[in-house]
Amino acid sequence: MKHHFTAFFLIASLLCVYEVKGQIRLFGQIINKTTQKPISGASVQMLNSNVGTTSDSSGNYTLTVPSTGFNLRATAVGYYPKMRYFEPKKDTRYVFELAEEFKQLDEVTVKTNREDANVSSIEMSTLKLDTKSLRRIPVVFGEADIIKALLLQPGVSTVGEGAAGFNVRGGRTDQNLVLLDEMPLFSTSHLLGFFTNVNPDVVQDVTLYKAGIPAQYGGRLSSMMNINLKNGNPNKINYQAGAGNVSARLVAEGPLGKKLTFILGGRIAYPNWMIKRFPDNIRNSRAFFYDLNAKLRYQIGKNQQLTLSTYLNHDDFKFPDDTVYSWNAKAASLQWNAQLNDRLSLNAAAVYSDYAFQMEGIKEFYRFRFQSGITHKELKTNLIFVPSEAHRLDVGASMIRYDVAPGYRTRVDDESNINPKAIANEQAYEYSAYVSEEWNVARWLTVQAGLRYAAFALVGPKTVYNYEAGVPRTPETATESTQYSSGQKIQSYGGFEPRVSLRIGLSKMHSIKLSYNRTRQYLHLITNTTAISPADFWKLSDNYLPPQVADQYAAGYYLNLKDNVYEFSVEGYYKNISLLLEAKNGAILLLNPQLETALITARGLAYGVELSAKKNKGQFTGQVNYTYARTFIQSLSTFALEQINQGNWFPANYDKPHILNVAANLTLGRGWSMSSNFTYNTGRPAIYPDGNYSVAGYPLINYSRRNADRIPDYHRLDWAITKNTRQNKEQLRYSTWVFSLYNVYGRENPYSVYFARFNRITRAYQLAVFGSVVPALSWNYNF
Amino acid sequence: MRIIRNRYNKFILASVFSVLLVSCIREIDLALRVENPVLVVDGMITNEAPPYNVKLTYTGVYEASNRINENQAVSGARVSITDDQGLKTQLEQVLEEPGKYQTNDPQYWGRVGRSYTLTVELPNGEVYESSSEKLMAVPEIDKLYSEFTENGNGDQRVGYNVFLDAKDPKDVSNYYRWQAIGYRMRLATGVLNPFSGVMENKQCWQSFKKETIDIETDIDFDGNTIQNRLMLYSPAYSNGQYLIEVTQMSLSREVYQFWRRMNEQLTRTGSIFDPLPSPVEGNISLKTNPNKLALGYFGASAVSKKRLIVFETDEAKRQRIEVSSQPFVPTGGCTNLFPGTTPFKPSGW
Repeated sequence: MKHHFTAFFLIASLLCVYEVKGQIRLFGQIINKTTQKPISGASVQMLNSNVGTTSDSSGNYTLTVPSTGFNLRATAVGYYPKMRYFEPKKDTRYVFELAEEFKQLDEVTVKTNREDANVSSIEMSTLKLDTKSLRRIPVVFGEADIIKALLLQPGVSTVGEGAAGFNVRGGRTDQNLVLLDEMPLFSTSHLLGFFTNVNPDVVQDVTLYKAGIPAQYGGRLSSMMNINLKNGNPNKINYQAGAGNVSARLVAEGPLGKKLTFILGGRIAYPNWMIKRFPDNIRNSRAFFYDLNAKLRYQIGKNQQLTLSTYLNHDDFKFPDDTVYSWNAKAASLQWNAQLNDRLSLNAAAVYSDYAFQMEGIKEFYRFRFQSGITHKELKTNLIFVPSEAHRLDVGASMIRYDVAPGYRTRVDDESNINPKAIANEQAYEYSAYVSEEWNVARWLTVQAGLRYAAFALVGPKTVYNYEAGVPRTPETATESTQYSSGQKIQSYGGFEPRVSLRIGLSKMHSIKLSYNRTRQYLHLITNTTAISPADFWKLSDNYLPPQVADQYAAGYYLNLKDNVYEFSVEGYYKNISLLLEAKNGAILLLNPQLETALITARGLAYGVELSAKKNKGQFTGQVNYTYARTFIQSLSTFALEQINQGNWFPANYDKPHILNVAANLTLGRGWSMSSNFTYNTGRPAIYPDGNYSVAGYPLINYSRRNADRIPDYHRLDWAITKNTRQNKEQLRYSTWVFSLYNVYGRENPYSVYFARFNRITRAYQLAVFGSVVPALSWNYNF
Repeated sequence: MRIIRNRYNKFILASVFSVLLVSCIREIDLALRVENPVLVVDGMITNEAPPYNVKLTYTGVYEASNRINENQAVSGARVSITDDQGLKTQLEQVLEEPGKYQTNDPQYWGRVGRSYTLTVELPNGEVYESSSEKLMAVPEIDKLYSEFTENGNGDQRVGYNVFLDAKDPKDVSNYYRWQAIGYRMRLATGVLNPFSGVMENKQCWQSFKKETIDIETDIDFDGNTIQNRLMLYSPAYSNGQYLIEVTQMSLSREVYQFWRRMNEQLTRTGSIFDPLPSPVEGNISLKTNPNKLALGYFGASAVSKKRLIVFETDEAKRQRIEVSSQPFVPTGGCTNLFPGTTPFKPSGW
C-alpha cells in the first residue's frame, strides 16, 4: 500500500515536471490600483483556454503559458477586470493593477473573493463575509454584527436569540477557533451575547471553515473563524464615525510617514438609557462595554511587512447592591511576512491573548471577588513554497503556552463571611508542526493533503488527586494526592491530525469536492447550561479529562450558472466526536477543586446536509440556505447516578434539524437599497416534565429523559432600508443611514419553555426574548 | 458557593429581563409525554422523639395546571429502618393518610453518630434500599433577633425580618437545613357555649411558614459564624406579639446534595442559563439493580430549635394601622372566621 502510494507520487511528479518543461512562466502580482495593496484570491485566466490560476494571500500568481500570443484577463470581485495581450519569449513578470469597482450593484453580503471559487477552489465548507455591506443586514438594535450575519449561512446556528457563541455543524460553542489577525478570542460576546465583540468597521473580511480547516490551524474541534483586520489606508488619513441605538463608533486610518500605516477603531456602548426604562427592580442595573482595535503596518523594502495588531475589550454588568460582573480581553499579535522570491514566502508571528472574568459581590457581610481567566502565548512560523502552478507546499510549526486560572475567590473586607478559595492555576504547552500540499494534478483534479501533529503537556505546579477504583469519582472517594512541582510534566497527550481534500472538476461550471479532517482540542469551556454564560470557565485537559477528538467527513457538489451569477451547492457531512465532557446531573462546577468529580466523558455524533442557492449579481441579489442537521450525545459512565438519560443517546442542546434562511437585497438607485431576511428553524431540544410528585410538602416535577422534547419552532422576518449619500467615488464625505425592523411580524419566538409553581400548581411558560418588532436606526459618516 | 449561585441566578433572571427591550413571558399549553410511574420516597429520622414518618408514592402523570395526583400513594409496602448496630424497627401504615408509614416503637430514637438505612419492600416484591445515613451532630442556635422593615409587598408591606446567628464547628464538614414558622394570634368575639355559658373560640393562632428551601454548606465559612442569616419575614398585620420558631438541622452530604438539586429545580427561572433539568434522584435504589434509582430521599438529621417572641414596636403599630385598619373584633368563632387557624396555643407562646 505504502509502496503503491510512493510510486504513484513519483510518477505524478514526473508528469508535472514534464508539463513544466518547454513552457514559459508568467508571474507577478495583482494589486489594487489606488492603494497598491495586494489582492488575494484574484483570478488570472487565459482567454479561450483552460489556463488560469488564483493569486495567493500576497497577491502573487504564477502561470505556465505558451509562447504564442494570448490574452490574459485578471478579475477580482469588487474590481474592474483588466485584460492584456502577451507574447512572451522568456519568463516574464507582470503586475496587474486593478481599479476598484464603484457600483453598489455588485456589493453582496457574503461572497468568495473569486467569482467562481465555489466551483474552482479546493476549499469547501467555507463561508466568507465581506464587511462592506454588513451594515445593510437588518439586525437587532441596528448593531452590525459578524456572527449574526454568519447565522444566516448554512451550518452555523445558535442555541437561541441573544445567546453567546455559535455552533458549527454539531459542534459546541467552545469548539470554534476565532482568530482576529491571528489573536485567538476566548469570548465573542458583548452584553452577555447580544452582540459580537469585534467592531465590524475595522474588519476586512471573515472566513469561517466548517470543514477542511487548513493544517496550519488546530486546537479546536469544529471550526476556524479567521477575521482579518483592515490595513490602514496608505494614501491619506480618513475617518469614519457612526452611532446607533446601543453604541457609537469611530475609526481613523491613514499613513504615518511613507512606510507606516495605522488604523484605530473603537466602539463604546450606552445601553443604560434603555435599562432605565424598565421596572423598579431592574432599572438600577447598569451595563457597559467598549472595544478597541489598533493596527500598525510597516513596509520593509518591497517584499516584507511587519504588522502589529492589538485588541482590547471590556464588558460589565452591575446589579444594584448585589453583584458586578465584568469581563475583559486583551490581545496582540506581531506578524512578519516576507516574500523571499516569487516562489517562496515566509511568515512568523508572536501572539498574545488574555481573557479574564470577574464577579464582585457587593452585599454587606458577603463581599467577595471571584476571578477566572486564560492566557494564550504563541510563537509560530510557516513557509509557503510554490514551485510551480501545480504545487503549493506549506510547512510550519507553533508553540503555545497556556496559563489558565479556573477560578479564585478573595474576601474583600474583614466583615465578609465568605472564605477565600482558590483553584490552582493550570499551565500547559501545546506544540504543533504541520505540512500541507496542494497539488493541481490535472485541470479537473486538485488534491490538498495536510498532516498536523499536536502534542500537549500539562505541567506543574498542581496537586492531582487519586481516586478509588470501581466507584464514581466523588470528593469522598479521593484516596491521596500527588504534588507536582513547577514545570514538572503531569500528563501529556498527542496525536496526528490528518486532513485531505479532493476537488474533481466536472466542467468549468460544476465540481465535486470531498474532505476528511481530524481535530483535537485540549481546552474545554466548563459549563452546565444551554448557552455560554459569563461564569463559564476554561479548563485544560489533565489526567482525568482527556482531549476532545473529532473526525469529520464531508462531500459536496457545486454548480455555477450564467457567468457565476447563480451559485448552487449541496454539502453533506458526518462528524464523529469520540470524546466530549459533560457535567454530571446537578454538578457544582465553579470553584470545584476536584472538577474531575463533577464531569463525565461522553461521545457525540453529528451529520447533516446543507443546500445553498445564491444570486450574486444584478440589482436583485439574494440567497436561500437550507440545512438538515442532527447532533446526538451519549454519556459514557458505568455508574447509575452519573449517567445522563440512563446512558442512552440524546439530542444535543443545539440540535435543530431544519434551518432555513432566506436573504434578499434590492438596489433601488440613488443610494437607496432594501434588504430582508427570513429565518426558520426547528425548536431546540428541551427537557419537559413527565412526572408529578411531592417531597417534604414541595411539589416537584420529574424529568426522566434528557432533550426528548422541543420548544416551538422559531421564525422571524427582518427588513431594512439603507440610504448612502455617496454619489461618486470622488466624494469623500458621505453618510450611510440604515433603518431596520427586526422581527417584523412581532412573533413571540420562544427562547425557552419552563415550568413554574404558582399556588402549588405548576404551569408551563415560554420566555420570548423579543415579543414585538424592534426598530432601530443606525448612522455612519465617512470624512 | 450557594451564595454565588443565588446571585448568579438572580443575575441571569434580571439580565434576561433587562437587556431585552421587549421580552415577554406567556403561559402555554403543551402536549406532554407519558412515562411509567417511578417510586418516590420521602422520609427522615431525627434525634427528636419518635414517631418518624416515611411517605411512599408513585409519580403521577404530569399535567400542566394540575395538582399532584393523590391517588398515587403506595399501600401494602413493608417498610423498616435499621441502624448500623443491627437494631431494626418496622413502620406501620397510617390508614388515614394514604402512603404514610410511621414507626410505633417509642423506644426507637435516632441517636447522633449512628447510621440508619431505610428498606422498602413494595407489594410487587421489589426491594428498595437507602444508603446508610449517618446522623450528624448540629450546633445550637446562638441567637434569633428581629428587625422592623417596610420592604414587603401589598398587605404584607410592614413586618419583621427574623435573623439567626450560629457558630459553625471548625474542621468538620457541616451541612445545614433551616425551617422557620411564625405564629400570630387572632381575636374574635367567640361563640357562646350554651352548656357552660362561656364565650368560646375567642382566640386562635395563625401560622406562616418559610416556603423556600434553606440549606447551606460550611464549605465557604468553615469554623466561622453564620451571621445575620435571614430566616423568615413575619408580616405585621395584627396586634400583639409574634412567635417565631426556627429549626436548625444537620444533613449528610448526600442528602444536602439532594436538597440542593431539589431547590435548584424549585427556583428554576427558565432562562437559558439555568442548569439543565434532571431527575432529582436521591440515595435510594433498587436492591437487585442499583442502576435503578427512586426519586426522593431518606435522611437522618440532628435538630436544634430556638424560639423568639417579637413584640410590636410603636412604628410597626402605626404602620400596621395604615396598612389594615380593622379596629373591631369580628363577631363569631375565631377559627371559623379565620380559615387555617388553630385554637391551640403554640408551645412557647
